Amino acid sequence: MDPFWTGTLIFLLSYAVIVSEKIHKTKVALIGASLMLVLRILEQQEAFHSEEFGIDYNVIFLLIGMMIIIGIMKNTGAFEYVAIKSAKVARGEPFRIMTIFAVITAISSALLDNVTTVLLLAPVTLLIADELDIDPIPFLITEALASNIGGTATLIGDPPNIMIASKAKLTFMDFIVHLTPAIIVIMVVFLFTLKIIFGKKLHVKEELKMRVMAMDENEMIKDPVLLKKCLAVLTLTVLGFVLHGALHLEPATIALTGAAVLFLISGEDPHKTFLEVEWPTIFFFMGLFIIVGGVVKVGLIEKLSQFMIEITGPTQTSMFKTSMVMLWFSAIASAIVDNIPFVATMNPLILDMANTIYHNGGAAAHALPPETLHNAVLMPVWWSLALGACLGGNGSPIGASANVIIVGMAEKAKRPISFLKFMAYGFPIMVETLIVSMIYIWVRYYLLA
Amino acid sequence: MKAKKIMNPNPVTIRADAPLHELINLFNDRKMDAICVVDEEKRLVGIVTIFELFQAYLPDYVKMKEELAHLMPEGYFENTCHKIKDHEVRSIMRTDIITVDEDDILISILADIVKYRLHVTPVTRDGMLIGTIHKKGLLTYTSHVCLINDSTSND
Repeated sequence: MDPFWTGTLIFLLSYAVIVSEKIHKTKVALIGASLMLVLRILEQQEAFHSEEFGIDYNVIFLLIGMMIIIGIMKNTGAFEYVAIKSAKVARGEPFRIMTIFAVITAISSALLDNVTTVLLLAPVTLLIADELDIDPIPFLITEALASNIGGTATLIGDPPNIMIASKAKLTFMDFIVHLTPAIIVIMVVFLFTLKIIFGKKLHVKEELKMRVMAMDENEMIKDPVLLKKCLAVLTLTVLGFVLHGALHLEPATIALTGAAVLFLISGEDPHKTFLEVEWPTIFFFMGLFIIVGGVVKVGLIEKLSQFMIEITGPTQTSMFKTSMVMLWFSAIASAIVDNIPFVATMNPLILDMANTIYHNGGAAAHALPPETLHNAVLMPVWWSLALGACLGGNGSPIGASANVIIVGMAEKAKRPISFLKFMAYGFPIMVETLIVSMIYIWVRYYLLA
Repeated sequence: MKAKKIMNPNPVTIRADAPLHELINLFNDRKMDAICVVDEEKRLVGIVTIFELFQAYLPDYVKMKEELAHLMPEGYFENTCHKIKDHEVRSIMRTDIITVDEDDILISILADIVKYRLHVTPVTRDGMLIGTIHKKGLLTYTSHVCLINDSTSND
């Protein structure tokens, strides 16, 4: 069979099985990648070593580095300490607790990762809801939504951003300058929406609030020395991210260095810590990169990019329609399927599109010059992809890993959250946050440009 | 030695629909720490140990993060005792049961006991409970064998 059709078939079949969730996504990605290699759609040399078609090790090692840091840090009790402390700052008032927990979740998801944040916060939420004798479900859903919103704010907050940053050669500060303001506005709107929905509903008796006030958050800190080391390394790592553009160091280098230093000074057993790395996710990424590399090589992505150009009509001076289509299409796709395979496909598509528009397809799509990649006209397309792919995760309980975790934990705690119950909160919030994103992109990059 | 020779052929059992307070009484009165759960036809459907019972008093968030127990109010345990005393045994029993055959030899039973930290090992025939081997029963047999060996070697 023609390599184009063979590659396309492997790609489509792999994605279809990943979406069906009949077989674990990592197994599917690895089988798809193996087929790309065995059928010589992609040579192993290209899969392992080429920047154009191969595995993006910047993404892989950034993820591993952060997973190690978080893996060591999560056992210190710091998250639980902050949660209990803030519930007391809220004086046991349920709506204030909901708001503060949403803000903590968003910040923690922006700097660490969404799944760990909700995994650590959910048990504390259940405890506090139990003490206040109120339904924990609105709190849990709010945390999942806040984690997806917060994760969008930074380069390291959510895997789609890590992937976009690597392909578009964007720095941590680019995300802070362009996405963080959008997320701050979105968070304010989100909290305001929570106030309208829950502001008047959540009331408890004073004696129940006293139970929360009686909790001693210091009980949560198990190893203060380790906690101090973790906080020091985390601060330096974030500082490293802030400066990585100026230092000309890739984010993966910063994350790996942070992980290595914490490894050394924490005294943790590597065998134990490496168990905290989510190897299935890492290999899922590797498999996907090879599958997508295959369809980039056979020309499918080029065809898709031409289709995108035809329907959205981007030009060298304006890509407004492309941005808007990218925002909504990414969001809807990410609400239905995993946003990682989606972004893995859209990244080379945008590169190809930029190559066609700025260089008539004559340059190497994977090595476009910065003046093309960071062109003021193209930038909103990257931000639209990030906002759409990350915020779209709120649209359904399977749209993001944090949602899956929250739904799973609620079920364990015998407070199941049905698909529709999650969507009743998540979908309107997704639409609302996308409308804010749309306005943000329009105002910042088109009206004021 | 085979399972059928050392098992207790008339084990204490409890029905899956029995309330928890009945189970607690059984544990107390018979000084046991594990009981087989059966249906009306004496078919083995589960096992319940003191740990499953104690676990039932823990809220799920403490099972997710045990340190949170330090933050809970003093009377939580007593309140939960009252709240769940009429819950059915089936709500807390384990259903992933390790069973042995009546013709299994002692060393293979020991291997299971050590590997799975079993308190009681049900002996079954076609899914029906025909006896149990308790840790204490095994210890008695072990001491019996040792004494025989000692007296033989002393002679």
